[in-house]
Amino acid sequence: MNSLYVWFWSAMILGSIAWYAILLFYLGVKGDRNPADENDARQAAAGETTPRDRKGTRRRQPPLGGASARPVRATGPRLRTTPPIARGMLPRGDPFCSRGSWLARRFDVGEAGKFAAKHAEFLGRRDAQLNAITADANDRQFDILSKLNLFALATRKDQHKAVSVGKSQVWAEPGGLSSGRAGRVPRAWRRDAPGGIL
Amino acid sequence: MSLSPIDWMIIAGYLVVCTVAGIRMRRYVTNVDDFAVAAREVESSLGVASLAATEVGIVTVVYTAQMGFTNGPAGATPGVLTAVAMLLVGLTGFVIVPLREARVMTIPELFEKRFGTRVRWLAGLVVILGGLLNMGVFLRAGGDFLLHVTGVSTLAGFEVAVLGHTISLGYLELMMTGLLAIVLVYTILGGMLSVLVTDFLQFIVMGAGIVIVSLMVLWHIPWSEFIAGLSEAHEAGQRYAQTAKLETQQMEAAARTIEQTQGKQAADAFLAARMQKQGEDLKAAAGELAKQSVLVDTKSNPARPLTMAHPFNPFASEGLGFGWVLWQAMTAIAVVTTWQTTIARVLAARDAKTAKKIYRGTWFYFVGRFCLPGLWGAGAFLYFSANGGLPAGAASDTAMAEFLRIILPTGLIGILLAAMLAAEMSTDSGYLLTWSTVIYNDLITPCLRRPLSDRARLVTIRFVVVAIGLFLIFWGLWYEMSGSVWEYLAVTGNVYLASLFALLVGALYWRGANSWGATSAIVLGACGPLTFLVINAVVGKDSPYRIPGEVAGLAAFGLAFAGLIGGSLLGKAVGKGAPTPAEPIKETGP
Repeated sequence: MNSLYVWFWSAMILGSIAWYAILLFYLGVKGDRNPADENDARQAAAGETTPRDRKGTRRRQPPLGGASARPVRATGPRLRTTPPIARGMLPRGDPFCSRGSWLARRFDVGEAGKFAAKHAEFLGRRDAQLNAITADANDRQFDILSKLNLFALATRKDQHKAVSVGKSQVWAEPGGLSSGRAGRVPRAWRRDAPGGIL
Repeated sequence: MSLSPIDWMIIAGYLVVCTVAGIRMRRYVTNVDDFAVAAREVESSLGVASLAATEVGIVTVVYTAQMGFTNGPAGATPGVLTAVAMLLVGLTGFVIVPLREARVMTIPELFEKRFGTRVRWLAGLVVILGGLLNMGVFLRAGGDFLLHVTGVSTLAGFEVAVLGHTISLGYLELMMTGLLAIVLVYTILGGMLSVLVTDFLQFIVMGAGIVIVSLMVLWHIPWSEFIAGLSEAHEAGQRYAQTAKLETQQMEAAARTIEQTQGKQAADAFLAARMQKQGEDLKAAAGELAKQSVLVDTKSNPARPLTMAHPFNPFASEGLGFGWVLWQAMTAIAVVTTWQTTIARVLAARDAKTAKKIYRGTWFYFVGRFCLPGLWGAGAFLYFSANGGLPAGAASDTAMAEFLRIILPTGLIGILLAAMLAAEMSTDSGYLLTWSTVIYNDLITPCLRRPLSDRARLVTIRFVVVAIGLFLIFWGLWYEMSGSVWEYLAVTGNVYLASLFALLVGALYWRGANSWGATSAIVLGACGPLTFLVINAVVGKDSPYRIPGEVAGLAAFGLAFAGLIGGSLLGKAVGKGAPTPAEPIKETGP
């Protein structure tokens, strides 16, 4: 029985030394294999600009802001595709945080860069959302104008208000839509538009 | 002082790199989520490194080496039990998966969802009480170790004249205050991000130091000699213990005779004088006793003998036994599922899968966490047995530091010190952040009528970190530790481990648990360890009324579960304390 205990503790102690050494090598020298990073390297070598996902296939842009939205990466430290404002936040040449530094590589996904990229992603997403809101406002405006035109055509009233779709004059009108008031209808319109349409 | 310029350069280089890296992370902290849980973006490798670095501090090395010194490899039993618990939880996801999916910042926050705000606040209070008491001894133990390794007396210091008054400053207090100040600076500025980055650096330095020192110990005491020496030391210790027991029985018989004839006071005086005489005799015969594998602890007054318990069988080892192992097994399960510093990595993980991966990647690390410093402690016992006994002023908790100072060459002492500084800093920063998050999240936030702005939240949590740092300086450096460091840590940890473990299991897996049961579990679970602390502080060291650690610990778990079940059933019977899950947010508007 005693020799069983001796074998057990021998295995535990010697195994611990080996485990520490392996863990140190694995985390400290080798690091985790990150397919996204490898894809990035491959992408950079090929001079591509469209992001790829972890499997290496081209990733479609998120449809947040429609065609007018700025390209936004969904995840990871893809600093090349972040908006300029976010790029300004990143510590360039920082030995601890810059992408490619030994410390950043050890953090298996470049943690430091990743945190910065998170902010970049947030800012990018915010831009995209703003674009989406603007696009939405344009759509609503389009809708309103279409309905107005239809109404005007149907009732032959207020034809002077009807404008050709696609050449909106609303933006130029005093009190017209602006990106800051996206989606809201100008007061003058509410007053003039026939009830039941809006 | 046994440090060479090379050692100093290694230490200074490490400190500078670590501090700069920590401070540089401040720019990424914009809100409390970034500060407390690193925006929940931690990947498995970083999580493993951070968890491993946080869970090994100088105090860990000190108490595990002390266990190795007194119990040999069998003293590493808690490490093996923790590793097994870690692996099981990592494989099954027990507790950690639902906890991570709840997207909470602390465990008490989860309790609010299930049991209401009061339970959250009470749980937070118990967590803080246990956590801060536990952390209170870190600085003292760390400072003792560092000074022993460098060969400086722990009582050494200097005097400074300020405005006509002379102030005495100890090196230990100054050194540990300086170290804490560095940790405070980068933790306050960078929060969890700084802790993660510095933890990684510290993991590398500490891991390398531990491996190198362990190999040096085995180089000095070859494995076969180590095993044979421990067995011989145990047998010699047993023989000495038999003789000492006979002497003690004779002395007690003489004291009883004196008590009958001259009264109790005379008997007590007789016993005290005999103990003092025995201590003096032990000191005088320390060299001879060392040849019989009996070391003399000259730090305690009167001096007392130190023998090796059964070095391989924890069930037969003096001071351990079946009850102790059972208590440690319960504590291990509770630690891996409830201990806030461990759970902080789960909550910061990217998802539940990553959290499980972190556990599976760290499990065996906990074996080494106990076994390797235990190896150093056991090596110290054998070394001093063969070399004329313990140095003056050394005891079971500092023998290992003295041993390493002797066997390590120039340069390696620098690596060891850098490794231990790394261990201390990573532990302090991790614990500071964890407890400050709990105080902010579970004690302060529930009392606020309006939520604070992001900036105000950050300022508050940083202020709490400073407050804990100040507490550590005053409590940690003035509290005098007596007895086993591990037992103190385990019991103070049990103040909240038992109750919160019962509560967590109830909250996640038992529909019948309610706020009555939760309150009972918290109160009853904390009673056992607090009673232990109070009674053992009041009664003497050899009093028959002292409560063993395993009794207090197991009682805490028993009472907590009994409180949870009994309180919940009682609450249900009287129609109160019904579960109060958080209301789902209703959609409003058309």
